[in-house]
Amino acid sequence: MFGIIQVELYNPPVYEIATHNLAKKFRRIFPLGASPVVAVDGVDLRIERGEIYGFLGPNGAGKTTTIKMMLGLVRPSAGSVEIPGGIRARDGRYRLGAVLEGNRNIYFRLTVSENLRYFGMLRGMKPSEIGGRTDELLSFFDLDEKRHATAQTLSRGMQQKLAFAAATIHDPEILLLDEPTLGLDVATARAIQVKLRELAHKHGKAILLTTHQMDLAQAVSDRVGIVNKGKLVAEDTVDGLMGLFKRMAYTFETRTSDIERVGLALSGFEHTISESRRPGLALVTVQLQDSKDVFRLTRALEAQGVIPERLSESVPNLEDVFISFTGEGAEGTNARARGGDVE
Amino acid sequence: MTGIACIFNITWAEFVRRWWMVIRYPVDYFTGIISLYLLFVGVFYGVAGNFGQAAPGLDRTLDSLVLGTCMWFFSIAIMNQVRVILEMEAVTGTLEQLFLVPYRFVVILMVRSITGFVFAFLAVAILLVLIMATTGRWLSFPILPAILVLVLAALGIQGVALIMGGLSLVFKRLGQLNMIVQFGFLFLAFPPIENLAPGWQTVAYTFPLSRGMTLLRGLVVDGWQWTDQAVALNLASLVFNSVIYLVIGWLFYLASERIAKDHGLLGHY
Repeated sequence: MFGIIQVELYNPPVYEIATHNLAKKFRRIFPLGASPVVAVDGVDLRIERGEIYGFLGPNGAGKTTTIKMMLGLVRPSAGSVEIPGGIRARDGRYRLGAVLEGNRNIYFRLTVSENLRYFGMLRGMKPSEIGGRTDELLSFFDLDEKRHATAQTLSRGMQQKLAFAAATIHDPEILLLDEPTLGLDVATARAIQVKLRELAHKHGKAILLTTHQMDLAQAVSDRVGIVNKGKLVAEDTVDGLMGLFKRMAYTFETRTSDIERVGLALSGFEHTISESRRPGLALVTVQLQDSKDVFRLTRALEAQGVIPERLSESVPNLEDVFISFTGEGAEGTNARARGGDVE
Repeated sequence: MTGIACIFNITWAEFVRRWWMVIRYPVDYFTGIISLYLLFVGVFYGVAGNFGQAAPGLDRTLDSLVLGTCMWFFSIAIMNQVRVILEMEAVTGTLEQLFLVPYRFVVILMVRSITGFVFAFLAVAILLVLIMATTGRWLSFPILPAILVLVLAALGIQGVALIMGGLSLVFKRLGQLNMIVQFGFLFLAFPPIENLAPGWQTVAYTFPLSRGMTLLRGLVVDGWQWTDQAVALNLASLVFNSVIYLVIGWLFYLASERIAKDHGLLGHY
């Protein structure tokens, strides 16, 4: 008479948004018979709660198309986007927020507070909630004094801050930000970095961020994905990615007149010599197999009478990692010859 | 927040936003009324002057002219709602942000159309009073039935508006096509379709607005009573016509939105 009671222990996934083999080919109508353009080619992403995911890639790599597919603004050709908690919170609020294409996200003819009020209501906030939230955001972004100014009268940086505020007015759980600090002054960009960390690490938001500013990506990202020609070519924590390239390397400067002797001293070491920024000096990078080689290196230099200046350990940064995976600089320019600490 | 509360919320948001725009840019809003008023005054006195006050049937013609002007303005205002929203929002860059809401974007379009209807209705009321005061021809008509006909006619026009909106989502700029459609509405708003030859009449009645104009002319100019059989027949035909246009417009818009998302056109302008 008693049935078996089944208790399912459901562990909800900790990720907020994920893509599965996401792909997009844009078919061209003209010219007839033109082959489709592959913008995104099988990208798997998973953005977890409380995480900032830096999504990096050169221009045209497919970052914006991926974000737009995640937001439902572009239909994927294949694959899917998964939002385990759905797009609507229990109280009716929209769970996603996005800043797209810089400052073109706001009504230029409305005032700062009108923009926030309008977008808040549109995204399911109760009118009574909006006032307090508006005060909080305006104070944070230092826009209090501009509350009643129309958006068109603001500077570009302020418009960008307003766009950021409008995207977060409804306190979304998932934030997708396409170049959110583009055109901002240093102080404001830093403030946004602080805000991003606070949103992710204190309030548990899942944030995906695209940027060409490697220092920003390195400073705020918990994990980084590098996309090139539509494919995700690398993904790891910032330290993990840099660890891939971290070899024991030392750099020092020496007088250009000593280069011949340097060559003799380093004949048993993998090394590169390039031009230093300081006139009359050359920059030397030496790869070592293990830490004992430091002694061998100093003895070899001493034997040739070479005095190394500014001797230091060479540490790769995210930009080096980026260049090695994409073959391009952060601004989309071709990589220049570098000191040799990264292959 | 439940679905209905959510709809109420965005309706309120849209009314407030539109009101902000009217008070911030009153010239934008009232210039439309004034330019149409001036156009009307020119046509009205042209017709009256050419035919002379004693011409047979002139009273009916002039009353129809008053009504036709208001309805034409009303049709254009409604029809432009969707297209202008999509074109302007794409140019300013806010169109994609309007898709980032917890419901389908077409809901916003419909809500905006409703607010547009209310503001267009207010503008038409102002225009009608101005015209009647200028010409001294005070039309008396049953207001509630006239509003019902107006709403039903607006639904059919909304169908055309959704088709134009769908096209503008894909093709972005439709200025010239829009002008042609506006002139089309001119032909539907002014000539008395009920006096056309039966074949042409049938053709004209397949378009939106035409049946509504016949009804309004009957109620406002010819003194039809709400209980007349002609009113019931025309009303049934108007409902049918408007529903068909609305459904076609809705489906067309959804198909266009799908194409725009397929080709990544939402952010283009």
